[in-house]
Amino acid sequence: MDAEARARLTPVGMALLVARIASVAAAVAVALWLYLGYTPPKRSSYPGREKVIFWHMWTSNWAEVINNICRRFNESQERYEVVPLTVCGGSLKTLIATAGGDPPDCMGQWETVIPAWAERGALTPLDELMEPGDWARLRDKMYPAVREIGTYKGHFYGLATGMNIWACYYRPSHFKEAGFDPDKFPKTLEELDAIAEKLYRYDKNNNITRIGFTPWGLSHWIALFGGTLFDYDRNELSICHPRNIDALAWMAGYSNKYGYDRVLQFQAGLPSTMEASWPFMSGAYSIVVDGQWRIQQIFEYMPNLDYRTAPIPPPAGGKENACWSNGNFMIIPSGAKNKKGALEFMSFWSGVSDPARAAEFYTWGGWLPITPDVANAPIYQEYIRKFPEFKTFVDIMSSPNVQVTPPTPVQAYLMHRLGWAEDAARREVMSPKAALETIRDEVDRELKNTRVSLKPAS
Amino acid sequence: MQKHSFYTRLAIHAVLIILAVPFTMPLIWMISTSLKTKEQIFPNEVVTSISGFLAEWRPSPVRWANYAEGLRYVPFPLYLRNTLMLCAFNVTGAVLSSALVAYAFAKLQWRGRKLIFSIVIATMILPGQVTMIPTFALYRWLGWYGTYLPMIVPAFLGNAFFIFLLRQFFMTIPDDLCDAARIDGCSEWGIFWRMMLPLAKPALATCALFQFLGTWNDFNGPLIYLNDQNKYTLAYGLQQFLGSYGSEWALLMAATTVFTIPIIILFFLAQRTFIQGIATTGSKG
Repeated sequence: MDAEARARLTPVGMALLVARIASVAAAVAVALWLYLGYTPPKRSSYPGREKVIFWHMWTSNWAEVINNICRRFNESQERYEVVPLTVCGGSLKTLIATAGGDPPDCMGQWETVIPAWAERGALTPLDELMEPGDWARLRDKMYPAVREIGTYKGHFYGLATGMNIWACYYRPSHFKEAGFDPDKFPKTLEELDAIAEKLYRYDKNNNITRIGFTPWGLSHWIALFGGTLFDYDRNELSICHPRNIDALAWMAGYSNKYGYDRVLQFQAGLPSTMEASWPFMSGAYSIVVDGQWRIQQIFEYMPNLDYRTAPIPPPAGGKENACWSNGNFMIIPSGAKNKKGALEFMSFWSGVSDPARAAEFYTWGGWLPITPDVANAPIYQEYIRKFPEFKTFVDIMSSPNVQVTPPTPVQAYLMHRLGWAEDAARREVMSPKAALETIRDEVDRELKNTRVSLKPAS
Repeated sequence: MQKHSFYTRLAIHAVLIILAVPFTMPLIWMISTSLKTKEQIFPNEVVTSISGFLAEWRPSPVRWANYAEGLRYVPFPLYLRNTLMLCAFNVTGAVLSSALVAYAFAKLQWRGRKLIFSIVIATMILPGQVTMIPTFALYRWLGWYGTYLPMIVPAFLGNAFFIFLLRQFFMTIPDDLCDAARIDGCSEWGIFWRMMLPLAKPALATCALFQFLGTWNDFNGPLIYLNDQNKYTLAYGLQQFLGSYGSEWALLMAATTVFTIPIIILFFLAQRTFIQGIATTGSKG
């Protein structure tokens, strides 16, 4: 008997042999079951109906909300069947599918794609699918911010199905501890600055142990200071608007006062900003600016948390009830096979066709509505009574001072560079004015490279 | 070879185990997270002690239901079936086509052989991103968009790395063997199929393993070419757990653990063949 054969007969050798045989047998059994015994789940429940293929990027418990909306639409009529599909890398995939000639009929989006895709002919103008006059009537019903978010060069490409608004969350216990009345949230930025200073906490080595308040997101503060990134009258970008510079200078002032590195060091030690780890819930922040979706997260993870919400206070001469807003919206790629069905589904969900019915969908997702009709529906009002702090965000929706991302094909690039300018000014790498001038030149170059004009075609 | 004493071997193993521990951390974290609840994955307290940090790795309570829920969250068996089908086609195609081409480079004499081989090797320098758009345009023109063909057909057209690997291996086989076979009346196909392939089993197994791993983990192919959920593969389908506004981390880790187990088992069972294949392709220059 040779050495190899002797090795096979040892206990270890036998065990390995058995393991190999068992693995192969298991693999063969699984393969046989997969190909002969397994029946994939059916995705269509209404044979004979026209299919509306709907791609979206919601997953987890959000996907269940979307599936329920689709189910309601399918049950409400007999002509179409919406088939939802969670698509990973949704924006890229939709663009590729459109280029490949096989796009979905509609897509749920929230990224800054409308101008870029519309410029490349990848989107269907929704106003051209509507009956004459419907688009004008719809625009009149919408909140101001919603009117602008899906529009590019005079055409309507994205129907919003839920908006995002940012406001202040604050901890009343921290206010009381510092000697402030939690029922009187600051009405001006100057008051907020004063309170924030008293809310910071430090250890014996002067390291931050609690942040009173620290601003982030230049686009919010641009809106509050009365600046703007886009001049709608002249149809051109206005990155270096004087009030934009003021907003960035104020933000840089916070870093100067509290120490950019010191704040960063503290933030680096926090778990994450996701869901249950949101530092506001653990008390790491006394006041923080965040979106309305946090209310449901607080309800899910820390229902007994004592907190309040309030609009972000403006500086002297600034705009009240202002912030930057984005939202979820639905688009129809060009080349979609069932555009009419897609439009009908979009109208059903957004509340265009029946605001009272759609109000329930908005409560499922904790979304802000696109029209006051939906907000005033009894079921939505009941939702606000259940979550009283949500009312802050609903009230801000009707403000004319809410701004959306400028309608430029280089939206994504602009927002990215805005983040760089904010960082550069806060680190004192360059002055706020120089930082904004730098990105103005970069964005201008990028716009020239895309060879488009922002002015509507005549 | 010098035989080490027991204590020397113990010391060597101890050092290797210590060095291996950091490499196992991602795997341990994955399994640990797969058994946690959402609140445990994202605690809202800042951990400042080492004991607290280590305690975070221990799920408490242990939630085995994550595995059942994770495998139901997406049509896991369907994606597994699709993935295995793609793996079977790709492994067969890549191994056979690469072996054929490698044999021609190694054992046949023809004009331009060295130049063509250099060009084949040079294609390895091209990153996938460079060829992504022209190949997409080609498949779209062929009408293959939305099908498995863009992910299967290229495997039958040779793989530069496998061609190189197998060529090196074939070159270690003496030409006398081929000459003897020719004298006995064997055709070139017969020499290739009945002599060279059996002798190249370790190298072929290596190529098969690499191709299997590549196809099993392929994300870009399904992302670009597949639109029908019934055709999704595991690597792409697992992304459905992730979202911008909330992700099912526990379920994702559970599904990923199940996704990873076959690869780990395969590697342990085939590692000797794998290492032998890599080693013998270059050992006799």
